Amino acid sequence: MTGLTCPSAECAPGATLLGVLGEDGRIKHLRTPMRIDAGFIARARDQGEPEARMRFTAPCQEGGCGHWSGKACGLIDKVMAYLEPTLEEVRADTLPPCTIRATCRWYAQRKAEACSVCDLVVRLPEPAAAE
Amino acid sequence: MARFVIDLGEIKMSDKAAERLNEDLQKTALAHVADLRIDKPLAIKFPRPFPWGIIVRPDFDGVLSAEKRLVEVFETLR
Repeated sequence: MTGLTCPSAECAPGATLLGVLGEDGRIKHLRTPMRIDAGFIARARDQGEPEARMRFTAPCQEGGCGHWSGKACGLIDKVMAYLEPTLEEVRADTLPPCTIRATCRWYAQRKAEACSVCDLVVRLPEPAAAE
Repeated sequence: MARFVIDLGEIKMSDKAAERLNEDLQKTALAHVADLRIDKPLAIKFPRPFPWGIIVRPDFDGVLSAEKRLVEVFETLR
């Protein structure tokens, strides 16, 4: 483990809330990192799947994660490839305030370009829901 | 923007008590955040190449055109 932080972690006890989805479709980053517990998760689930409207952080699991490509996080590379044709249209004008940038796995890999699209990403836990 | 500062002035408080208060305040804030929901429906597209991650875009037409271009990009990658 490198001690880096995953910016798109599961909503699980011990994870930290990174941001909440705004009405413009972009994640609004919190300025204070707050650790979540089972009570928060239960309450958030009453309003629907938390990962569909919030982002969480946790230590990067590297090989323990399905996104690990062997030496890097494959998710941010896929996101960048996905957005590449429309990058100029969708990228944030300024980097969002971020409580984990210093240890962020995506920032470590793609630097500021990762930050410029980070707020467009929302994680959904069930692959079946992706169809 | 919602920002809250609670200044207890010169009240003496042990580090442990301050930590407990901080935890309680965060718990209260989190409870309110947990209740937040988006009333305006967003167009959400789940591109096939993304079994886990998804991209949320506020307008559906934009999603469709972006996906068309995405397919072209992925075809060139294969």
